[in-house]
Amino acid sequence: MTMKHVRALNKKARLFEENAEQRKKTRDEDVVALQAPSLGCSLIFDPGWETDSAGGVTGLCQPVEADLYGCYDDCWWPAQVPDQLTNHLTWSDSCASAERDWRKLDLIYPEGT
Amino acid sequence: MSQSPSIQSFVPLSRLLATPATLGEFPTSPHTSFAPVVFGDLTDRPGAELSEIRQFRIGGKSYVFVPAVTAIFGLDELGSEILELLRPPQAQSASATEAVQTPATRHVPLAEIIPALQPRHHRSDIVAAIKELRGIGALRLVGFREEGLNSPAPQLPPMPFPQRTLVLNVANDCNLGCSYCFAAQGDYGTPKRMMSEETARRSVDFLLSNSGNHKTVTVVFFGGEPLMNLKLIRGLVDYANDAGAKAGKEVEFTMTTNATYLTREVIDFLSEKRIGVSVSIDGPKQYHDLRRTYKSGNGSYDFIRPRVLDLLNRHKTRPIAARATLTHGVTAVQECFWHLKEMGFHEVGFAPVTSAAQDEFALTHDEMWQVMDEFRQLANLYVEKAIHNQHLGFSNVSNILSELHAGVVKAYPCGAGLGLLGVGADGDLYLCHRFSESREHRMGSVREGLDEAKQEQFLRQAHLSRKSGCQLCWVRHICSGGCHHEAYTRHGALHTPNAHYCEWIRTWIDIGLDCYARIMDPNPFFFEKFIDKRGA
Repeated sequence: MTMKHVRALNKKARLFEENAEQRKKTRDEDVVALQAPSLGCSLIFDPGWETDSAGGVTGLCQPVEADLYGCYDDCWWPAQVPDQLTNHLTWSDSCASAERDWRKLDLIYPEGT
Repeated sequence: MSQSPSIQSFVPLSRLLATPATLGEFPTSPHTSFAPVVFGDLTDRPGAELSEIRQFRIGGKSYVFVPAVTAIFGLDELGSEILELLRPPQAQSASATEAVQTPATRHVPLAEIIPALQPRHHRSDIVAAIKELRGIGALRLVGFREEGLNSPAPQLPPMPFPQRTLVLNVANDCNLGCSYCFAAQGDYGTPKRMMSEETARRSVDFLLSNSGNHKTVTVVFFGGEPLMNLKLIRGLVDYANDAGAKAGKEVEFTMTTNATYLTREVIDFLSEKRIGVSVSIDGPKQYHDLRRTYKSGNGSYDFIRPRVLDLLNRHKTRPIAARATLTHGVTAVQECFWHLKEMGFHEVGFAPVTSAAQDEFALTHDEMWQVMDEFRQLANLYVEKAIHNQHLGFSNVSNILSELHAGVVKAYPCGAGLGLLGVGADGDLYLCHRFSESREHRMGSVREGLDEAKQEQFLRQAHLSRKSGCQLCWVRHICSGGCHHEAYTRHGALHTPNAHYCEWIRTWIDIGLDCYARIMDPNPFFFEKFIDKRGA
């Protein structure tokens, strides 16, 4: 048994245990480099991530309404917003005010998924 | 500026979802479409925080339930200490009735965790335990790049979903007039009539041809009172067995009856054909006769008692279950349980009545909690017996143990509209038997087939991810918002979570976890012997 401090009780938990054993077996073959390839800033945008646990923004050091539009035009801030200069020109058309309308902003997913 | 073709191929999600080949607007809940994505926080003090867990102790042992994946683990002392360390000093463990179990965590740098535990534990053990706790989703590491453990992304079940069970309303009529009946004294408020043989055969054909890879399917004889249409049942059992044999499948039969028509001849037929029987009986006479009456108002207990005893005596091929309904004034669960066990029932299950809040027969808030106390006491007895490989036959505990044992992450509370459908007296298909004869919940018919568009619409709307208030609840993947019919009766909309019993159900599942761990640790074989065999 791979896990020493945690015991699986139900069937679902046993799957975790088996999975841990499997991972141990294949660990040597894992490619550890390049596990987090950078895909630039056009993959996804996740506004929920930029709010605090209560859904607010005022307590954050970079409130979402302040930095959101600082992202795509010069890309100085590594936030996850689509590239609006060349590929997604209409991305924020439904969002007149980021502070009010940010939930209307779209997600960008790879075609074919 | 050059444009990469691969970047060009990214399109907005809304456009993807608009195509009919995908899942329409599903899902729209902000909790699911904006599922947390862990990028790896950029802190210079890597450490750990609690994930969503419910931790519990039994005797000296510590356990953790991980709601996102419905997994249950036992912890050793070190594992337990690590989780305690991540709880802010002033934060108490949440009580079972509270939805959110881990309201408070604190970020503890690894540089502090290890020294705090090192006097008693070896450093390599501490690191190994942290990794294991992370692996099961009990804590998350912050300051590292990791995938995180999120609830599985909500998705509709694969379609077409294979049918496993059909509940046939073979008699849209009943000789009793129980005041709490959800079928409006047996006819669902529609003209009294019997299912025809032709409709019943079509139903079996529909079930067999839509059952996918299932090797066993189940036909449930329901009503009204199904034995009012005994002739049909006799013929259908033979027909279904033949049709099943041709299709290479086994057909099982069960029936829910009020027991008034149980003659010896009927009982011998039920036994010979291996028809499982569930008797609606509420306990001793003083409780049963309160609401299980003839339409004249006279109680039915004295009439059914000898018939039930005959059934228990002569029907030897399948276990016989009692199904008791708890109503206003009827909360003496243990008294009813022992009465029914002494009659000879193998399993006894209790269901709080489905009601609108103002119904005369509705359980009051206080009564619901009296029921819980009684359940808890019986559950304790269940555990004592289970440890010694004895089966108490209290269905409510068996059901919750069976759910917890499998650990299935459920998006729907039950099989209604999925593998289970109700068939009305005329052959119309409904979400389940409780919605029989309700035009609004008709989903095609056994002749024209399942209305797949309507089924898909239902599955979208009833999906757990669409139920507001459920997203943060620690029992969400077990309860899934509760019975559709209960929600429809109580709140007027079947997609609404049954918010009136959230605290109650959380308490019940907490008792279930406690029972599960208390049985599983000393006697895991109990589950192989009694729980796994119960089937779906």
